[in-house]
Order: sequence, then structure tokens, then C-alpha cells
Amino acid sequence: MNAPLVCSLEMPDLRRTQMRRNIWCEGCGLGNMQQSISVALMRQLGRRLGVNFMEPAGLETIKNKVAMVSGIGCTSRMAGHLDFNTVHTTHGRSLAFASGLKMARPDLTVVLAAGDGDIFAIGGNHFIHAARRNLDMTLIVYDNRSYGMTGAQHSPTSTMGEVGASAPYGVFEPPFSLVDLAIGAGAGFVAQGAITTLQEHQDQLDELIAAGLEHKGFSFINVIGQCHTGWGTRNKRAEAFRYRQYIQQQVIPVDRWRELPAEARAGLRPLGIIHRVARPDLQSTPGYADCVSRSKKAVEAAAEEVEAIAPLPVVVDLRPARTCLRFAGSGGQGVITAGEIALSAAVRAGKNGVFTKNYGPEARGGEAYSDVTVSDGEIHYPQSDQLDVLVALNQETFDKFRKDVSATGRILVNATAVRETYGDARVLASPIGELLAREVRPPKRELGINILALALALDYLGLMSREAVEAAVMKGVGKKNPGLNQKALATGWAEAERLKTL
Amino acid sequence: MAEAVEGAATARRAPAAKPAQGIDLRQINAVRAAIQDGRLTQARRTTLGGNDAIAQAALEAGARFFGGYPITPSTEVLEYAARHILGVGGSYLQMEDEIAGIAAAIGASLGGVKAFTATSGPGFSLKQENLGYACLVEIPLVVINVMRGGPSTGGPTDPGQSDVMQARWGTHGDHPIVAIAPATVQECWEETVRAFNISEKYRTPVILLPDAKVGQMKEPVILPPLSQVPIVNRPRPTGAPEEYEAFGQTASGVPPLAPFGEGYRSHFTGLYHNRKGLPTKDVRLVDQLQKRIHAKLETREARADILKTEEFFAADAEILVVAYGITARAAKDAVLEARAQGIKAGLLRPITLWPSDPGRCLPHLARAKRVIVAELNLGQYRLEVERLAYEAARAAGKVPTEVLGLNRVDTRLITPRDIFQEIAR
Ligand code: SF4
Repeated sequence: MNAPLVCSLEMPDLRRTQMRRNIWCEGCGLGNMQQSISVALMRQLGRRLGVNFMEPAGLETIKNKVAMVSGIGCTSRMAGHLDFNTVHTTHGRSLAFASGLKMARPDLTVVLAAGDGDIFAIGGNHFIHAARRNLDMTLIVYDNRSYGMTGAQHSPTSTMGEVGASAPYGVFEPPFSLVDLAIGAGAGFVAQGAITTLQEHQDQLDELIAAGLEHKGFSFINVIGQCHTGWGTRNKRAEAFRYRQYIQQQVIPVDRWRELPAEARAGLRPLGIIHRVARPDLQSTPGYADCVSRSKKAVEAAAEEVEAIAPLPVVVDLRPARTCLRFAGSGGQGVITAGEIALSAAVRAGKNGVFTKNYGPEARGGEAYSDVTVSDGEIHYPQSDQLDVLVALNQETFDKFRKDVSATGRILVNATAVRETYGDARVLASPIGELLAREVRPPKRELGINILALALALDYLGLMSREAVEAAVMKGVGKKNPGLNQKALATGWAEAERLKTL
Repeated sequence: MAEAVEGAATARRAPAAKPAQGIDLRQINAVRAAIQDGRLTQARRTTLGGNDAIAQAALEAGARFFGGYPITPSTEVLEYAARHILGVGGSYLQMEDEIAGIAAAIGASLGGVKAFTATSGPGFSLKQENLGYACLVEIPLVVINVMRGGPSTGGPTDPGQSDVMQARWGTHGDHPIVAIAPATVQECWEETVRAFNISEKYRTPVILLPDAKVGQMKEPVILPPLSQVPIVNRPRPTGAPEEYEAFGQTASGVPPLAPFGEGYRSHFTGLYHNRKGLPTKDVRLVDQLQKRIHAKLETREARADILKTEEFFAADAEILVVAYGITARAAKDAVLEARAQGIKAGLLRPITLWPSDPGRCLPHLARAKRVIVAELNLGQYRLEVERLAYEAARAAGKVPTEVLGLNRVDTRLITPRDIFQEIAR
């Protein structure tokens, strides 16, 4: 018989009919914990949903509204036993699964049952973030200070000096204080219960879990429990009753515990609600509501950017003529933006185009470049080692990409920064940096150099109209600083005129 | 050279069940095809980045939860979701790590909400365990993996195609997987919608495998009006809740999946489970379960929905290039150049990489005198092409065609010239 040592016999059984035999060892406190969770859920949800759990219809409503999520280990098998919407996930990850579920379905009551190894070792990262994030979920941990299912290895809560299968000479690592960890990570409700030989502790556990369920936000109930067949066998408490007595000797009501001087607390574990602060759960915060309404506006704004058209069938030219441009410079010069704007201008001019970018991990300052290929038909390969135009804003990119320019291509160099051009006949030198400083006079050095160079290059090529280029600039970066960008465009165009006459 | 010829060839082979109107995502260039034959008369025109197109398509396919973690070069997917998903009534979480990103997405999907996650290289490695969970527990889920080079950190901003085998076999245990490699921004949108539809219809995770170049490039796209985005939802149970079997045997092999909270309570576990989802050690049931999750993707209908391969001048190709994603775009230019020079070259472009497509590949592999598999790795998909070439040869009673690799892992792309030289050799 696997029935818990004590239980409230008058309550309905929430176990699945096929799972009336628990998988746990006889006498394990997990049965008690399962019973407490069942009782607390029925009472608490019955009240919240306004249904009577003693009636089949009421019980059905409660079961449908509960999602129990668990990880791996003895405790996590509880999800299989109970007749809710249940998910037995991967080791340590139950809180992450549950977080997604709760975000997507705030209407469900999300409860987690887990062991100490599952939550505090492999799942430790998820625990601290779940506590911080404060979704409205309740986590109940069976803390037997060991791994039961794999055979009594030590866990992050094991007592130093005790012996386990993977600590044959004694545990030499210090344990976590789970309660302190939870509070430190931001949990709004932290309680501790215990499985002992006393009915009052079982009743207290029912109430602690019910209070956790009632708490809006992340609630954590740590349950001090035994593993008599595993850890107990190795540490002189191999019988369930003996192990429970051992736990009983350590626990003390939290009120009395608080009154004790710090040195007298050693070896004692407080029972009751240890920490409770009211704060809105994640999905009820004003900040979250604000994000929702701002996102709605962004969605509407994005829809306006899209053009509704009545498309007509087209004959697609598979090998059209194409023009490949590269804007290259240092990371801060906006060459990626220049490429994006050139693509946008090409599309506005009714052409096909592809934009690709290249940037190193050192993009914040190192060299960067973007390629734009423009065509009236299909563009397959989006880049080219046969560039038609290279715009090189600095010496490094001139040196590096010079050889990628086709024999008939042109290299537009910023003569302000590029001193050496090896007498290359393809080079068109323009003092872009000086022009910017003199004509555009940007508040920050080099601001607008990309727009000036872009206007110059596109106009020199005659690839698309000035209207298309201007519209693309003004829709993009120009929104922020229209005056400066207008000046940069005009300067670029004037310089293009000059170069064309050379 | 006009595309009409190739288009007609594709149309002839298109499945008979082509809907009379609207978009059939099983077609190559589905939106354009629908415009060409008058099934689509209204459209939206815009210019998008590949990753943005993926995220937008996810939302337009009905995704309402995103769980993720920032990683280059896939971060734009997370950022797009962060900007838009709350505004369409969904939600997202930037989780504490990559593992949690996919876990949260699976949790949301169980809640009945279409969900996705996005990552790259190292993050894809971290997601593997839960990807396997989704396979065995039959969770509809789309995982975007924007491929960079590897192993390890590699070049975070550089393109690569080296996760092809990881997509197939990254998680432990025998499992079926669908992996799709788009090559254009337009295809990023179309294939993401298709990925969601496959994942919902067949209750299986689908991996979208754009390479960093495709994810980061921008192109003009033409999209159907929102009302004409083809959307498929997961099968739902219709019988009495007591009869509900979330892992039962059905005609299609795909059991229905009820969202939580509607009375169809069930258990979902990564342990071997029976039809009700409860853990089992019954060897017959364990065997049935694993074989069923494979079989459900191998029906005629499933194969028509899932397999997708573009045949580009392949019909009479003596030199056959096999390439996907960004490399296939270089291959197209190379094939066109070869044809212009009178060389009978062609391209097979698997859009669905996994499972591979013997129906469309074998005849070409049997005919070709030389096969070149071009990819940004050291020969991952070539292994599959070799296997197919062997099958093609065995069926034809011939010696298998030589399958050569054209590979590059120096962070640069394979260029049309590289491929042309290999063709003309
Ligand atoms: S192994 Fe330990 S924790 Fe697990 S069921 Fe048995 S007694 Fe309980």
C-alpha cells in the first residue's frame, strides 16, 4: 500500500483512475505532499471559481483549470498521477515550460511539483529567474536533500558530512539556503512545510500550499521531506518513521525561530510563511499593460508602411543586367545604412534589389560594408566579386576591396581619408570628408557622410531618380534629422555633377 | 531567358489537389505562382530583412508566443517579436537562456497557442534536448536556426551552413524531423508559414534553417493580403473527453491535440507513453509510439505537404549541382552561365532539407554524369546526396554517379564563379 500515512479521507481523490498506485516507495513523504497539493487546490480553486469540489461538476471545473508542470525525478512523477492538464518535462526545465504556458494562458492555475536536485541544481537558473519574473505560479519543492530516483547522490541541499552514492566519504560542498535564495531572487511568497509524524504538520502544509495558491505572483513552498530508502539507508534513518522523526526534531514554527538569537538557530528549520510581500504579478503590472498598448500602435504603424497592390503576372527575366555597389568604411560611418537606403531607393524606382551586410564582431568600430545589387529582373547571387561601384570611405576598405571591382567598374574614394590609390585608373577621387565638414557642417564628425556618399554615387551612376533617393533617405534616417540629410543630399548631387564633367 | 519554361515544368508536377484559389505553399515561389495564374489578385508589397520576414510570417501564420534569447545572427527575430507580438494579442518572453526559450515555447504550444523560438549555432546546440521532447511528445513548434559557422562560437556574424546534420540528428534518439532552408526573403516568409502549417497539421516540431546571409539580407517581397495567408491549425478532439487519446492511433497517424482547460485533460511526458500519454513499459506500445511518430510524416499526404525541391534546368542536366539556401543562389547564376556556354548543367535545390526528396532527386541523380554538392560546410548534405545517388544507381542497375563536394568554411560565400569553374572542369 502506498497511501500516505495521514490523509483527509473525506476529500475526493484527484488521482487518475489508471494511476491509483503511486510509483513512489512505500512510506515516502511524496504521498503526503501530493495529498496536501490536492486538498489545497480543491479548497483554494473551489473558492476562487465558486464551485463545490464535493460535487462532480465542481470537481471537474477545478481539474480543467489546473495545469501541473514538473521536471524529472521522484517528485516530478506526481504530474502523471494527478488528473489535471499535466506536463512531465525535461530535467530542471519545468519552470521554463510553465512560464511559457502561463504567458500564453493566464487563465490557467499553474502549479509545479519538483525535487531539490531538479530545481536547484540543473534548474537553478530557471528558479532565480522565475522568482524575479513573478508570473502567477506556485512551485512546491520536495526537499529530501538528495537525488532519489538515480539512487541517493548528493544534491545542492545535502547536509555536509552526510554520505551519498556520489559522496562516499561525505558531502564536502556547502548547501544552499533555499529560503534565502528565493527571497534574494525576488520571490513574493516563500513558505516552508515538513513531512513529519504529526498530523498538525500535514494540516499546516495544506494551508501553506493554499496560501501560496492564493498569492498573486510567484510562490514557493519548500517541503522538508525524506528519502528513507536512498539517502536514509546511507545515513542511519532507513525507516520512513525514523526519518520523519529526524525531520521533526529539526523544525520549529517560524515565529519562534525568529525570536531565537542567530547562534541558537543552527540546525533548526523554520516552518510557516517566511516571506510574503504583495506586488502585482508580471501580467498584472501597469508596465506590462503599457507595453501591450505601445506594441498595438507599432503594429498599426507597420501596417501603414506596407503598400497594397493589385499584382499582375510578369515574365521574369532570369539573366538581366545588374549593377553591384559596395559601400565600405569603418563601423561608425553608416555604410550599412547607406546600403539599406540604396535598396529602398531602387525599390521605389521600380527595380529589384538585394541588400546584404557584412560586419565583424568588432562592428562598433571595425570595418563594415554593405552590398546592394540592383536589377530589372531576377537577382540570384546577391553579392559580387565583380563590383560595378565601390564606395570606399577609408584607406583600409580601399586596399581590401579594390580587387573586387570589375575592370570597367569605378571606385569612388573619400580622398579626405584615402591617401594612396596606386594610380588606379578606375578611381574617382572626391574629398567627401571635407565636403561634409564644409557644406553640411554636422554636429558630430562624420554624421551624414554615408548620405553624402550615397547621393554622390547613385547620382553619378544615374541608376535611379533623385526623387527616389530623396524619398528613401527621408523615410529612413532623414526622419530624425531632415535638415542635415537634405544638405548631405544636395552636396552629394552637386559633387556628382562636378565629377561627371571630369 | 524567361522563366516560363521552368514554371510550366513545375506546374505539371504540382499535386492534383491544388486549391482553386489562394496560395498553395507546396509550390515553388508560391505567391508568385498564385499571381501568375490569377489565384491572387490582391497583395501587399514591402521590403524586408530575412529575419524580419520570418518573424512577420510567424505572426501572420498565427503564432502568438515567442520564447527566445538574444544571439547573433538571429536576434532580429526576437526583436521583431518583441515589437509586434503583444500588439496582436500574443505574448513573448526573453528567457534566461536558450534552453528556457524553447521550453517556454513548448509550454505555450501545450496551452493551445502557436509558438516559436529562434537561435543560432551554440544556441541550437542548447535547444536539442527539448527539441527531442517536442518530437516525442508531438508538440507543434517552429524552431528558427539562423546558421552561422561552427563549431563553438565560430564567427557569430558570418554565414555558414554547418548545422544541417545537427538539424537532422542533433537531439538524441531516433526521431523524425522536418528542416527547411529558404534562399530568399520572399521564401523566408513563405516557408515560415509552411513550417507552421506542417508543424500544426502533423503535430511535430519544424526547423527553419536560413543561413546568416539569407537572414540578414533585405529584399522586396510580395505578400498575400492577411485574409489570404494560408493557415492550418492542429487537429482537435471532437469526441467525449473520457475517450480522448492525445497519443492515439488515427487514420492520418496524427492524434488530436486539445488546448489545456477545455476538459480534454491529458498527460504529456517525455517518457515512453501509452495512448493516453501515461508512462508505459509495455514493449508493444513503446515500439508503436516510436514508429508512429515516424510514420505520420511518411504518408502520401504528408510527403506532398513536406517535401519541396526546386528543379532548375535539371530536366536534361548532365552536370547536376545540388545546393540550398544562399549557395543555391550562386548555383543558379553558375548554371545560367553554363547553359549560355552550351553546357548541360542544372540545379537541384532542396527547400525541405529533411526529409530529403527521392521522388524529385533520383531521376536527375541517375541521369547526371557528375554531381556537385555545394555548401558552406565540409560536406554534410553531400552524405545524403551520396545516399540518394546510390539509391538511384541501384534502381537503375548502374554504378552510382560521382558526387563531389564544393565546400567552403572560411566565412566567405561560395560564388557563382566557384561553382561555374567546378561545372566547366
Ligand atoms: S527514492 Fe526516496 S524520494 Fe523517491 S520515492 Fe523512494 S523514498 Fe521517495
